[in-house]
Amino acid sequence: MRNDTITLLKRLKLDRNLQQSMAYEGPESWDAGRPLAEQNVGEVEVLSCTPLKQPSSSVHLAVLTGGKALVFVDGVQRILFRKVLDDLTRVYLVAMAAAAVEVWPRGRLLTNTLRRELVLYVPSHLGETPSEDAYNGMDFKVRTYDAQSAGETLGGLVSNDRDALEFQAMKAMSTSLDSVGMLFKDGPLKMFYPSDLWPWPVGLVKSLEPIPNAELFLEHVKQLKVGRVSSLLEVKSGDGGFKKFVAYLRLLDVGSESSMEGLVRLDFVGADLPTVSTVAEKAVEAVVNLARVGPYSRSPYNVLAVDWLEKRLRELLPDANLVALDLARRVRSLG
Amino acid sequence: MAEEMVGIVTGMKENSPTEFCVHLFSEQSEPTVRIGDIVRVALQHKGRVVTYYGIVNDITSQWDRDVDSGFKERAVFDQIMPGNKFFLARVAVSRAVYPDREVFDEPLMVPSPGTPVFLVRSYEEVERALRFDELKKRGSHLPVGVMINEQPAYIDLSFVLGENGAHVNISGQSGVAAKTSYATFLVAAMIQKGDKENNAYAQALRNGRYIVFNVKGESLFFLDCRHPDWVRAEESQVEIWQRMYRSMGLDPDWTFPKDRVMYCSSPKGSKLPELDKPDLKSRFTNTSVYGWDFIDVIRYRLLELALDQEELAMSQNMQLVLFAIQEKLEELLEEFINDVERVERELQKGKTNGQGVWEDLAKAIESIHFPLPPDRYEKARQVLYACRKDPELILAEYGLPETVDQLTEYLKRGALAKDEDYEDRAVAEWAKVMSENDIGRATMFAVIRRLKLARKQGLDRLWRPMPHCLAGELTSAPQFSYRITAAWDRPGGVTVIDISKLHSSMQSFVVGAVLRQVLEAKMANPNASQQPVFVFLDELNKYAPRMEGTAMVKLFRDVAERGRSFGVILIGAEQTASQVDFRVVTQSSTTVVGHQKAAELSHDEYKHLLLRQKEMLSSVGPGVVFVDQPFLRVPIMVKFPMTPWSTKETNECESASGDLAQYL
Repeated sequence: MRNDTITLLKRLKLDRNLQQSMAYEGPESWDAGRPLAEQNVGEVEVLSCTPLKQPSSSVHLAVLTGGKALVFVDGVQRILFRKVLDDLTRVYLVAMAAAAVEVWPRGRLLTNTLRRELVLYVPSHLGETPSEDAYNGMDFKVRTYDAQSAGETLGGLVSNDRDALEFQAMKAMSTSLDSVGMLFKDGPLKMFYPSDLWPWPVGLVKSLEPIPNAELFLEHVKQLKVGRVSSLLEVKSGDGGFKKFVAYLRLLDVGSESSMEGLVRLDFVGADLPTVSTVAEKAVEAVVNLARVGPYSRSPYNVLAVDWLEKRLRELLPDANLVALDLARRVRSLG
Repeated sequence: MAEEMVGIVTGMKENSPTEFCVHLFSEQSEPTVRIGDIVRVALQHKGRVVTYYGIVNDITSQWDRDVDSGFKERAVFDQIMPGNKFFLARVAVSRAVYPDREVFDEPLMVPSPGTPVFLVRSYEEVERALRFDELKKRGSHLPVGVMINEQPAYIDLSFVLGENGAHVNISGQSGVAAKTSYATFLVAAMIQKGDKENNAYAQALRNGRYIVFNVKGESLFFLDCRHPDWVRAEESQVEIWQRMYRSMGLDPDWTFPKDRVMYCSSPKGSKLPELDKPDLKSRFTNTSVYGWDFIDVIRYRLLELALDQEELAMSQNMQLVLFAIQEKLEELLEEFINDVERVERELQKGKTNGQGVWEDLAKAIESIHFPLPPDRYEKARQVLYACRKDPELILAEYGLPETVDQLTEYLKRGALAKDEDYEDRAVAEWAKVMSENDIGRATMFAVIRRLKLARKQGLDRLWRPMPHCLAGELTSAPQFSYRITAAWDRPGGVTVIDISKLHSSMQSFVVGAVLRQVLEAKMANPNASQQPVFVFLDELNKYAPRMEGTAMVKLFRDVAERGRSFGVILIGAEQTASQVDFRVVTQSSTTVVGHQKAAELSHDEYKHLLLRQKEMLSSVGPGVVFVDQPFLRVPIMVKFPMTPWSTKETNECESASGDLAQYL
């Protein structure tokens, strides 16, 4: 870790405050990363809404699962250190990791997709920005943020960076697998990834999606019964450069037809409106594959493979106590 | 060195300088390492690399922490989620070396977690790891089987021949090819090494005498024949055995050379002509009959071996009487020998005026036209042979019994003697035994009853009357072919002694008698250690049981503790080492354990084995044994091939069949 980073930490009186930070909150609770609210991740515009109609003649669907891999992508984060400054702005040191796990035909962590980062978030008004370097083999980044801006919250920044890691993991997949039958991404799915992303993930939606006009989507999801697919929504990215169709499929009855839990988001990239059979095919494929691997009966919203992946990734994050002690030692050694 | 990393030293378990654990990596979900494989780690000490070699002695597999419930395990099986397998190998350090020399104070350092571990595959490096290179340099290597990597394993002959240690102990359950077959395999390896090489160890093996006791059927009477199972085995199987022999540097077609093997058996009966016929059913060539005359019985104190050892150990009275009888026998024999020597001296001076026995002895010596041997006992035997008179008559003059029947007769007459009977020398002498030692008549009759019982059990076949010539001059020394010494004392000779058809107390008598003769002969021989005698005896627990006070146990302790100095090497075998006298078992430098019951393996005698090795021993198949020697840090598992020589009766052997008529 470079000296300018240490100097910054020293200015924050990190060594003394670390003790306090750990005294009242155990590191176990830091994994949850609260209170990182998902919000304001970009503008999405809904252009049209096409209800799916029953086709006039029956459509024969053949779902081939063959030798194609079934893969899940997920990421985790752990706040290693949290400090509230005098002006009530906050400094976070967050470790995050993301990776893909192949469940079928072989059960294994795709190690080349593994990404880990250690990020220090500091308010921009502190002045100097230390350069990026490394900490014990992990990339160490310093990210400044405008604490005064309403549109740029610390929680949103962390969420974005983690999402970026997950995206990198997905990108790396193409080098480790020849063919992917289906890729599921756990948790909130960004509405727009670059159009050349392959394979395009199917989202396991478990909470409200990170979009400003959530009500609009809720409208279409409400009253969606198990096994049903919502209307096709044509959406456009905020910058207007990318359009696609999305539909929601309720996979699980979670006790409330208006809940966002137990939903799967199916994306259709391309300019043309997808046919009913295309939508049905994708929906069936999602149902078949997810039925094969879950859900985890002890936590109905999670899939076992995702639970496994999250545990593995957390094990690969640094220990909060050790990082804190190490940083404190370095700060003190600087005099 | 071929670099094949198989894992890292794990920190999940406690490591020590003598044993460490390896987290095995496996690309194909199965580890490549097996129990018995050799691995290597490199450590740093003051800037120098120290290589630690070790033998894998245990491998375990389990899920890593990610699969912590039965539900998840099922999920992994159903391919719903991945599960990480965790393979752990336990490695016992066998050697530590600097690149250029041995680490003398090895092993003192512990490998740190995360250190890469490499599988050792090259032939030379495996030998280096197990110190076989040192043995080969000295020429003291003896192949003992093939390890799991198909390389031969060796033991150090200096721990067999008495230089650093001696004796071999083999234990294992019957019928799993662990004891007799392995013992003959070791003997064959020794003989072949002796024939092939030309160093001091090989020379000792070449001059060695190999005595093998046959305790079951006539199974060891066909060592010079092909094993019927080998002959009938499929070609592919035979090829595997042959490959194993070749890898050990042994001839795969070797059987014991007929001209080197002598098969000795007890006689068919106690009277001529049965006395000179071997009691064998299936072997008709290379055979001889063994027995002991009164001189041997007295000289080697064999009488005590003929009685029930347990009863003798418990009865001090009996021991006292036996001691008194033995003392009297020795006294009388001494008198007879003194007379022989006196007559010889007088004849040399030209005097010929003896009377009675002296006259007989003088005539006998005069008829001998060859130099009498310097050994006093041998001289007395030859003179008695030349007396042209029934030896019984001459010995009666001294009160010496020629047979067990005579001994009981003398004892009886001595016990019942009245004053007028004292004119008979024999009666007088044996009555004196009772009065001088204050022995009651009842006690003496108790001993007589025991002697009669021993006779019924076959002592009269083993304690045979002295042969004698009837007439004529003697131009060459008579051959007392029944004497076992004539059979076993041949350089490189293998002597198979059958005791299978004898009563168990007579089996002890024969074993004890042979051992005493061997010990005495070796103690008198200044070159004893260059001409070692290997004695293979199965059912050691029967002859040297864990019981104080018996003559046999004392004899075996003597062999175990002192035999090494005189080149007497015991290759003992038993089903249960825990039932053999502790001092006898612990004196063995080389320990071999084959298939064994778990209950037996819990005894202290097997503490040298590692925990997993004990578990394996209760399930290993035929031909697999664990060998341990002081130079090895860890007992090693070896497999030995089927022997091409027969270790069971076979009627497919031409060299074993001969002229049947002479035996019928």
